Amino acid sequence: MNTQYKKGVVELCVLSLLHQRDCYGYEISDVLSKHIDIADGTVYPLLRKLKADGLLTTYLQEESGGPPRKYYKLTELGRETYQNDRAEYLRFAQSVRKLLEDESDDKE
Amino acid sequence: MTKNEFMIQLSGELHKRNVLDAADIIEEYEQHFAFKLADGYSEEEIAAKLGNPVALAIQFDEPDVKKQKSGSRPFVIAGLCGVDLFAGLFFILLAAWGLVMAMVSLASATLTVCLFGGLNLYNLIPTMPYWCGAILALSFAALTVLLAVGCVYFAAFLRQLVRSFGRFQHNVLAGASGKAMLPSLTISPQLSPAGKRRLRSAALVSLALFAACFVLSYFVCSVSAGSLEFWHTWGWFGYTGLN
Amino acid sequence: MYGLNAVALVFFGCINVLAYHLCKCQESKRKKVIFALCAVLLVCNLLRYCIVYPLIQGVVVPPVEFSAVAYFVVPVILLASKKRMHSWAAYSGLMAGFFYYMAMIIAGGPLYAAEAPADIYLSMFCHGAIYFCGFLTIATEAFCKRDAPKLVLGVALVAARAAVLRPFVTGGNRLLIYILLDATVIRQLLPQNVWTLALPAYYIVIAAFVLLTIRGFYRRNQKQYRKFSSKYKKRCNPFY
Repeated sequence: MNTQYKKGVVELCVLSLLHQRDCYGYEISDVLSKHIDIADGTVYPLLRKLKADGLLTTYLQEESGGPPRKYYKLTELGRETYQNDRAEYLRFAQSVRKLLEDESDDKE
Repeated sequence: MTKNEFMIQLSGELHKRNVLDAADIIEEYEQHFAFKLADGYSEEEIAAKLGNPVALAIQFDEPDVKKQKSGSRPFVIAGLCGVDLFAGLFFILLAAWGLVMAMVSLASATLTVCLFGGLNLYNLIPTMPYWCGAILALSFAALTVLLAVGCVYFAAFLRQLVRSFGRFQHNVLAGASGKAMLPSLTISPQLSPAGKRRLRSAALVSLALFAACFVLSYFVCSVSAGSLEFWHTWGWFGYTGLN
Repeated sequence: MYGLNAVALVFFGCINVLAYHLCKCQESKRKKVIFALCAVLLVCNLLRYCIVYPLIQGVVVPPVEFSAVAYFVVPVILLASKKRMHSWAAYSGLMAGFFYYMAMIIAGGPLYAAEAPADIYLSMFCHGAIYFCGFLTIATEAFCKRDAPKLVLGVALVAARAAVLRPFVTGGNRLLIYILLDATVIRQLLPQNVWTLALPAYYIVIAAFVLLTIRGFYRRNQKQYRKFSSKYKKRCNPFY
């Protein structure tokens, strides 16, 4: 699969996770790598890029028995971008799926 | 490779590319290693799963764009106030139009009820045979539905207009103070596709019914009265005239 | 005065359009609509004939008219879901509803303008409801042509019952069923010396009319059922 396309979709997944609740870096990488086949190292540069684009902000939270963890949070722009991109992706995926499934049906 | 080899290679690549916050990035990967080791993975496995340090460092090498701080904030705010005033008047006018439509719809509904029930409040409704009134009532019922649909659509449109204007204001202020700008909103009303379909079919059906019943009621009234200007025969406007 | 014709026309058109659209919906939705409509119809008419007429207005009116019988027959059959009797329900509903609305559209104003609007609305609702149920049934179920004798028997039974109950019905001569049974039309239009010829001819014409409508009914069912369902799923089982 095209890496650029995969990267865009992984971005959407990251936004989806953060839409549910604020997470720290490792949490996101862990959850994503369980669901999708990606190198978990690629999540961190992605998070940095999203922050630079203004879709995320970070804050530090004290943890018991360890150093303070950096938590990521969606901004207003991030929330809106997520809603738009999610709808667009779902529409796109549905049409593609229909096309691919119809093709296999015709062969029968 | 071991954790140390990974971290040394990563940090070397980051510094070579002059990436800002390199220490922050290194610390994130340190945390990643710490968590994974606690879960029982070996350093080799973790490093392999992370990927090539050189490839990762390349991904971190994004050009940072600094936003310009503008010093013209007071002027922007003054201009915005003027625009607000003008826009406010415009919105009041639109809201008034929506209210008028709603009132006409309500009046039409009352007329329908009166005609069907044969009620004549304050003798405002001119006398006509009951069944001629019934078909006229049908046409007014259709008109009520049509106007109600129009009100709903207009309200959604007005709401979206206000939201879009608010977003425009926010963007202007953000641009002046160097904050991130949110995407501008479209002014077409945001209704769900099912809602749009229902509104459209309701509008079409009620329009067709209103037109048909209105024309039919004219024919029926003129046939019942025996003249094309049945309002003269029945003396509606206080003028019985010459038949 | 002619407004009643126009109102009947609009109502009849709306009923046909609604029934057509409902035929295209799912079975479950149709069942719910028919169930609700039949329940309302039955309750309404039970109240009318058992409570309103005897207790409030003080007259006992047994339902003898073809339409009045249909008010009870159609909902009972459709609610009890006796599949083999559905053809009779559909036939009664369609005939009663169709001829009532035709009469209303063509001559409603002069005939009924003097009656209270509430009565006319009730009557239009009842006839419209049985027509609607009949339309839905004929378009969505396959009827067996072997049931045709049942329909003939049904019509004959209704006529016989009307004849038997005649002493108990007040104002009987005005009801349509008695006008048909007495051949009032013949007696009023033709001079007495031709009655011996005209009356049997009249009854033969009536019988032929009933048989023709039954044949048309089955033909329509075949056409409509084929249109609204993809295949003829059911074949008539003669041993059922």
